[in-house]
Amino acid sequence: MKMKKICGMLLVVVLAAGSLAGCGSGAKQEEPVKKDAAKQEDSKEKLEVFGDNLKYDPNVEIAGGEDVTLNFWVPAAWEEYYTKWSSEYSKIHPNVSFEFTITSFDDHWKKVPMAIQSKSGPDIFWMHNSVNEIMLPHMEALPEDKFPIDQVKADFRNVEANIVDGKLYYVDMGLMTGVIFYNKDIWEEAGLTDADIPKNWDDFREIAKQLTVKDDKGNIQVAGFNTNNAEYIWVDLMYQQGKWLFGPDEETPVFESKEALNAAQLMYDIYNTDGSGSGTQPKGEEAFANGKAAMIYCWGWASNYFKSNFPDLNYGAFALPVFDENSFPAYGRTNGDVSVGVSKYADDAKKEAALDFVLYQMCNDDMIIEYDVFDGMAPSKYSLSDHPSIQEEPVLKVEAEMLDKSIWPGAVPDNYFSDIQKYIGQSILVNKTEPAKALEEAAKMVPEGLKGRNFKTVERKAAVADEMSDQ
Amino acid sequence: MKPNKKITSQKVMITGTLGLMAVFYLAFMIIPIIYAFVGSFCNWNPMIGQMDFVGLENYKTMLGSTAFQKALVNTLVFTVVVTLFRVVLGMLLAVLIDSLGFLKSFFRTVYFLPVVASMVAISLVWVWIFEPTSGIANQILGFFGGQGLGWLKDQHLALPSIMITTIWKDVGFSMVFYLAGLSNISTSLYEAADVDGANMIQKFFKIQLPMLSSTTVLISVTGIISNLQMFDQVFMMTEKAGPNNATLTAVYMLYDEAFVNYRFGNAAVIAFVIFLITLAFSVIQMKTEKKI
Repeated sequence: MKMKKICGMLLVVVLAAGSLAGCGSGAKQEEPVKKDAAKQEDSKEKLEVFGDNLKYDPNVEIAGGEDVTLNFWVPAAWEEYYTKWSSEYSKIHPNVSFEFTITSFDDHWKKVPMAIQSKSGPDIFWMHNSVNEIMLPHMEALPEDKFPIDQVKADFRNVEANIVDGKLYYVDMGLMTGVIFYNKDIWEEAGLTDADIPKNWDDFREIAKQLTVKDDKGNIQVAGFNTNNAEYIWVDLMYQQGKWLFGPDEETPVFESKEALNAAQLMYDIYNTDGSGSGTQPKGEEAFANGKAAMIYCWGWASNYFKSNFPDLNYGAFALPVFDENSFPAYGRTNGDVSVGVSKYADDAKKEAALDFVLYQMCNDDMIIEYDVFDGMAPSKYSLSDHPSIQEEPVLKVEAEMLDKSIWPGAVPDNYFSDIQKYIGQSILVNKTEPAKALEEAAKMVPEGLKGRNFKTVERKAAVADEMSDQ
Repeated sequence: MKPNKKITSQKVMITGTLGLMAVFYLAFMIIPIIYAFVGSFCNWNPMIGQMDFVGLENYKTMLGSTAFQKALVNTLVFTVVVTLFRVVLGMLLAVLIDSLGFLKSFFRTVYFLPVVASMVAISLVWVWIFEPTSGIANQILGFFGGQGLGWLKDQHLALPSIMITTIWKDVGFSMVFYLAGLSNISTSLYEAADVDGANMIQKFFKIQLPMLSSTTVLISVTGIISNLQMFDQVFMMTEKAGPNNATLTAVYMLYDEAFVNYRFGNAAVIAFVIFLITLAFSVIQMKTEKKI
């Protein structure tokens, strides 16, 4: 009987302990992967100041020389990169060390905003402009004395568009855009050469028809063009015609215009009228990698996907065709990956160290180039567009050429693009809905999805704004 | 130990255990439910510590939302169809397996195996099966001279494709329950039926079906409750509940509203609507069970 009681009490204690196991702040749920940076003996030798207009002086002591450990949260994909560069930084500033917490990409934006509010979250973290809405309220703005805005603007693209309520929180490390990937083997088999690379959509349609292979039943075996899972190409087609995505209030999406219909009609024609594509094919990058699509529309990240998983794939890239190659305001949309974010809740010493690391990142060309090559982007830094590492990567080279005629619409909520994919792209390409009807549905559903979201587009701040016909 | 002391110490232990469980449920269930209910009346985004009271705005928004209406319809259609198949196919399989001799255990195991597999893994497998260009489903159709179908890529077939996956996974569960129910039917009833000259079909409708009614109620209601909350299949098998919201369900939309759109107030509304629908079905179950 006594034994029974003891067992019962033990069971209760174990259950209670088990039920409390899930408690605790998000930061403590992950075992911090401590990666103490290598420390170097103090060197009396003056280190070289580097940077273009914005400069980094590595001789400036951080946090009065006192030891600072920065809690740095990054998704697993970025672990190697930031571990390496934080070590390099610590060689310059031996008193600053980094303690990494590695998250999964999907969980990063669920855990960081919750953890940071608990004041036990990251001091510094991998940031993305798509989460401005939930992260900027927790972030430390880049101070003017350390990051003079004129110097930042002189060095980086898109800075004006990144200023929110008069403050800058990050800059673009690189900018990505949509390009056409083409399979060189299939191209060659069809008797095409680089001289046949189309500059306008009419020529593109002819090439796509030529490259399409069908079986006896008329089913596509090799699509001339595949934009599945990237149906937001519609957005690029709008910009190409000089049309803004949002109305003058900078938040209401626009679908009722001849440009919107032209864009949707082009997508319909390539797939359904010409028969060069099929909505039932796999995603573009999958079909392309397996030789089931001769050309795809995809963003620069796909270059690393192919390099890592399909190293034998023989492909090239060219700029998005336009409606009229002699007169067009923009190729399309761009979006950037940005410098790391700094928590406004960190103490002064940590904040100083974190902001210094951001400055280091912005001035360190090697760090930026490595970032851009890894992520499949062209550098946002003006001086790096012609860097050999960029020029020798076909996709990055094309992106770099397109950048100055690309528009960043701002931190538009992700569901705007996924709704465009759904109500315009999938409707037209998968269900073969008439373009006008698809646009009608989009006009009803997309604003519903944006209701209550706090954002304003910055597309009208683009460098090419004056060239847009829609003022 | 004296009897009084024994009873007292037992009471202390019971009270302590129950108390601890009560604290657990209060902390991890009751309080979060109340918090979410309050949140449904607020412009609520815990990511930025925002919780501004807006009254019934969220309810008006969601109940008037075309997407949510579509999600509810999809959820109800899915629930009714899958549950129906779960009951009918499960019963059929159980009756057939029960009539077997030595292969009973083998078939019972085979049909039950998908039940224990993870829905995520099964969803991934069925994505490949339904692949329009190279999947087995279209290859089988082609073998019989048919035209390949779009399956998950076709807005008219995407939800039925997910239903097929779910039924395939789930039918073993109801089969096992029905087999247990069949084993409890007294053999004297069958003997009496034999004497009356009843055939197999008559025995099924006159003996087995009525005797399995309480099992049917149980399987129906558990099926309804589980299918109303369907999420994994949509998440794993489709691109954002496409094509064109064809596979959008209430719980998927709840996830989207909370973790993609950061509109936790709207997500809370969806949660309570699902809760009310589930509650309604549970009440029907209790009343039906009493009648039976």
